[in-house]
Amino acid sequence: MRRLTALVCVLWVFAVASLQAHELHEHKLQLVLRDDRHLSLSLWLDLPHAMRKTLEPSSSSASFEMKYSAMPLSLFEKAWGQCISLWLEQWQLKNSVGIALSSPVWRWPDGATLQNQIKLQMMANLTGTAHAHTALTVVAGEVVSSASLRSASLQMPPSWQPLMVVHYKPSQQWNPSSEKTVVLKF
Amino acid sequence: MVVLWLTACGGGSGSDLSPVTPVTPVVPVAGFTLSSPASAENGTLPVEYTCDGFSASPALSWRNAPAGTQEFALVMSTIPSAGVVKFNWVLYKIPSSVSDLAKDNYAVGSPGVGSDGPLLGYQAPCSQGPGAKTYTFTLYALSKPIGLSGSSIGGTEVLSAISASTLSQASLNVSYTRTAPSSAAANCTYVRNSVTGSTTGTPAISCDASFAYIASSALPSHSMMSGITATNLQVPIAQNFWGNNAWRIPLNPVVASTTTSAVDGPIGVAINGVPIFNPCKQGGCQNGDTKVLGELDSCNGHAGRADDYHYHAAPVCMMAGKASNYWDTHPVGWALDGFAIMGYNNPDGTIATRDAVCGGNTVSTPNAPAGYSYHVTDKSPYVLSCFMGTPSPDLAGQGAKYSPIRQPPVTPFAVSGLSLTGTVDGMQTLQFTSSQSFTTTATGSDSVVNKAGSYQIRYSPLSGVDLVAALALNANKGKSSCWRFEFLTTAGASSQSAQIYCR
Repeated sequence: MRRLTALVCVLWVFAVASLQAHELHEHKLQLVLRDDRHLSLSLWLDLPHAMRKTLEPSSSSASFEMKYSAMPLSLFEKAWGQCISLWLEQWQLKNSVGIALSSPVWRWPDGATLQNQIKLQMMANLTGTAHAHTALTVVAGEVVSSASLRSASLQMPPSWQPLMVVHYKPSQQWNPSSEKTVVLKF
Repeated sequence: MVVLWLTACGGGSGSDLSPVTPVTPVVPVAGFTLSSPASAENGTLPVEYTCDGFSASPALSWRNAPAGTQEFALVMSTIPSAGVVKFNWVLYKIPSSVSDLAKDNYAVGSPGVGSDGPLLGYQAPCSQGPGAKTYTFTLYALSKPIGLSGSSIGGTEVLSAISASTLSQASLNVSYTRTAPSSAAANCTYVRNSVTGSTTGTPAISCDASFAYIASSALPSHSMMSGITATNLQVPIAQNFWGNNAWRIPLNPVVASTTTSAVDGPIGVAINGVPIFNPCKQGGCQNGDTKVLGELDSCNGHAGRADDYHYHAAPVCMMAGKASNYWDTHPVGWALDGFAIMGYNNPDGTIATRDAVCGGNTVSTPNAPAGYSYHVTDKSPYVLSCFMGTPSPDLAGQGAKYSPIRQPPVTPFAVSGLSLTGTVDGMQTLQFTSSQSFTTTATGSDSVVNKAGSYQIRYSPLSGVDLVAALALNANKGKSSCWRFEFLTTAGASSQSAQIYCR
């Protein structure tokens, strides 16, 4: 009976994983146009979740996290690399006339870091009574294009959805000395 | 006349109580009928379609519309007194291809504003006078599109616009008799009336015997996210607090024998439909006070990680829409235990005393249930520190309120293949057996193959000197329990080191 109770607890904490927080984590992509041809990207992503939806969409979260925490790091790194490859292929940034623009240079976490994140999640779930948060990972990226980025269209990997996209062009002024007053207009 | 009007009024503003507008007589078309599974002709309208129930609009269907019908218009009306018509439901621009409306219809037609305004859509029967009231659904078959547009088209405007283009009409009469208002009904009226005090968004209100349901998208019309001094990259977006996900406010609040703590998250709903949270950051009050940390905008709100806008203190921008003493006698919002959240003062204008229990008092307050009221203040916890009454199920289920914006899992949680074995060698084992390989071949040019097999997580609690040693590490400062974990693949093989985890 105790084993059954424990398993039910394990299953429960997985099942309510998305329901605990009052301010839920949601995937978000922020694009900031630094200049005409330079785009800075910040991607907030639940990586284990997105990885499962990419590699094993028919698996449950529990079995996926179980398997990927237990597998040898070498295998995990191979799967993670495959996942990133698929995401890069699914990412399509085009200018206003439909010409594909440069792919971003992303700074993804390495396989060991990501696998450890999944292991921490498993350990927290197995030893606690409430589901621990999956912290969103912030992944930075840069796009430097030979063409203007002022008007573009973007397609992203389906496994990142739902996703809030925020994009803006900041106002920037160079302030060369402390005597110069910067006038701010919003 | 006003008294007569009120006898069939739902407590609204009475913006379209009008003398009956004559409509050009039309030639009845044989067989053009209007019916409803909710009630037969001259039958009784079930309570779920009234303000005593869910305020759902009934399903309707019609047959044998006249040839040449280009569009339909529907009006539900009652006659509270001779020569006066009150509109409960105005729905126009119904396509000619449609022959029925679903229960709680939101999908078909353009909703007009009823006599209880200002909300568009079905305004459920909610007579405040005694006796049976007859409500008539009338469907008009039109020879041409109605040609009306605007955000507040009323029944009078619709009837006037279609008078020359009505080919035929079909009607259905039903009746409803309200029983003497219960305390729940009276409290429902308080909630309904309270939202009319908002100038920054009006939620939809419905009630049953247990709860008032406050439905909204939780986007106020006042400015948002301005004045935040801490970092907040969220963007307020509409939430789905509609239908079954509306906020449930208990209609029979009583002071409970024990208080309930206000966890981090929603503690109530402002009358503009925006949730009110306790002061604390996500994760608990040990993480700080949102207002003190500069995370709130000039309206005492901000958008959370789900881009959900909410207040953490008095909704001052919403309150600015009325004279400050308005909030002495009218609720600012509703706590999740059903008691009112009032303004800074008592009804007599004196600064409200806030008890040391939950932050309210028992002063009798008009427009609010008896027994207790919370009062906003500019000192933490700003609204309430605990619940005096029994909270709504929405307190425990607060996370689920936001879940509809998430996509559901691809498949239901798969239990098969996952098992937790008993203690062997002092360790518990969680095992997953994968019965099949999977191959990712989305590109056809590359793949990852995981062979079928078993995966294990084995773990056991640390004790004695091992526990002391683990807790002595800086990384485990403040923690009290530790476990040793092993991550293994088939047959106990592992290429990973054992790991100590503490919490």
